[in-house]
Amino acid sequence: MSATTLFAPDRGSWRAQARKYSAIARINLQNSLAYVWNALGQGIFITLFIFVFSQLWSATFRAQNATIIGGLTLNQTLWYFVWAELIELSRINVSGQIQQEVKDGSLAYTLGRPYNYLLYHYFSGLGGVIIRIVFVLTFGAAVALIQVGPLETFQLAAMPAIVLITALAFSIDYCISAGIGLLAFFFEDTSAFRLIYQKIKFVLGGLLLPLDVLPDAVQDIARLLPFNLVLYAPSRLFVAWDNTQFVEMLALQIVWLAIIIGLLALLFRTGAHRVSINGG
Amino acid sequence: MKRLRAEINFVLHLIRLNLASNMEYRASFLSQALGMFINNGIYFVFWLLFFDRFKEIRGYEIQQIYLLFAIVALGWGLAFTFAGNAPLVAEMIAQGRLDYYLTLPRPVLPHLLFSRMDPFTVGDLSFGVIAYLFTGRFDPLSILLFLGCSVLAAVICASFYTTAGCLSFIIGNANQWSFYLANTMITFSLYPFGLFQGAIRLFLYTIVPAAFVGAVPVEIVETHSLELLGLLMVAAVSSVLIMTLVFQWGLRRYESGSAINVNI
Repeated sequence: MSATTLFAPDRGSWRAQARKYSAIARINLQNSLAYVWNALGQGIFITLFIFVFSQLWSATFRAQNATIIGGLTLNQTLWYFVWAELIELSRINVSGQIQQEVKDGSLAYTLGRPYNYLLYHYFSGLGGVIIRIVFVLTFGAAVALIQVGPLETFQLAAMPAIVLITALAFSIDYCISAGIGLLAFFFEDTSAFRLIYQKIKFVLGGLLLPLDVLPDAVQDIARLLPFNLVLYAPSRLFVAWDNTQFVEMLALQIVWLAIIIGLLALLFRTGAHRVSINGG
Repeated sequence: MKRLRAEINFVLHLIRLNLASNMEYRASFLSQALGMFINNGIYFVFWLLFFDRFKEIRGYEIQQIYLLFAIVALGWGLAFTFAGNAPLVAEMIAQGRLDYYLTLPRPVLPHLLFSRMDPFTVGDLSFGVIAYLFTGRFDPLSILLFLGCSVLAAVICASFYTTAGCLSFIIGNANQWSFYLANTMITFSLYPFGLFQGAIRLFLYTIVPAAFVGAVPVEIVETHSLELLGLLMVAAVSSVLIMTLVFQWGLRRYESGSAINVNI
């Protein structure tokens, strides 16, 4: 049995696998509840960001004497940022932990355990995501409500689809984040990659500006890359639902997810071959 | 006076050692600094795109943003290139790692703060200098004021982060909270100050002194106002005093982690 396969060899039936990984998620959820103060901190962070964005965009709409910028009203723009920040602040930020495990060698011990290393981190991270979503959404929505009132274009019927797109966005982001962590097999420190990825999402992902506001040439590049599918796609659909756009974005997410999983598998396999276990 | 000179020499010696230590891992040091430089550059692209589309917001144009980024980046870079342990104060208190400094015959706070250099912030430092080149302000007085204001902003950044870290003396591990507070300061300092009015402005001049890290230095360099420069100096001295008082007060509550060790 090779310890380097991305998808674990026979480790029980699908039902047993599902039970195992849901147990991992549940345990991490309980752990996160013990550190609920940290999630509260994320809530405070979104309060800060949404407040700053509300000041910036209110001033911008006034200065431009416009009611719509980039196809969105001020009300939609602010709620767009609530959803985008919700994803960014609640995401499974695993790259630092994976880097540490690669560097200190503890990854070697997990290779022989009856779970898949990357799936373990994914489901373990999901537990924390749920807590953070609750806090971030509560605080972010409160600020947006105070600043611009409820989302005028909210469609309850579209929410299951938006949740699906958001869940896929979390998965794409997780795979990229895990990939950055695995780069520790080849680089001493991956923090620079982490920071650069974060800032690329800020600009080309649509966290600081909805893509529709960007110059055409930059928009074209941004739409070609997967980063907009992490933040822009779910946030845009949340504030301006469109059936055609939904199908388009969903298809793109699935294609990109498949590509990124493939690359992640390759990276993991190549990296794991470099692991030497000397007992201990 | 002799004692002060001895302590300054000690801090300079620590800085030299930190630099030498980082240079041992030259590739890692340079890649981290370069990574931070690129990181700042990408963030700056946001403002380029924003002002390309909207031209002016509350009295700020792209020229002011260049200056704002130059001062904040150089200030932040100077702060943590030299006082690299300031962001770790909360964690060190919580883990009882002050013991090492308490056993040595040197003032604890400066010894603690200057015992580490953060290679990432060298990227901030260089970004600040390069961003200034885009402002087009090359008269000697403006350059002098830019450098002076950046040093004062650095003092405020390091003092604020350290003071926030002292929360660990009260609530246990305040690592996350000191990070949030420092990020609140840096976030507000990087936006045009005209966006904020009323109570928020008061908050940014006092509790989280973001105004003294970004807006006030920008106005000093633009207007050459000596009154504002005096105000910035008062803010910097006050932040050091507050940090020292809070740290001394906290040390009395500090409980040893039995972590006495020898650094070889």
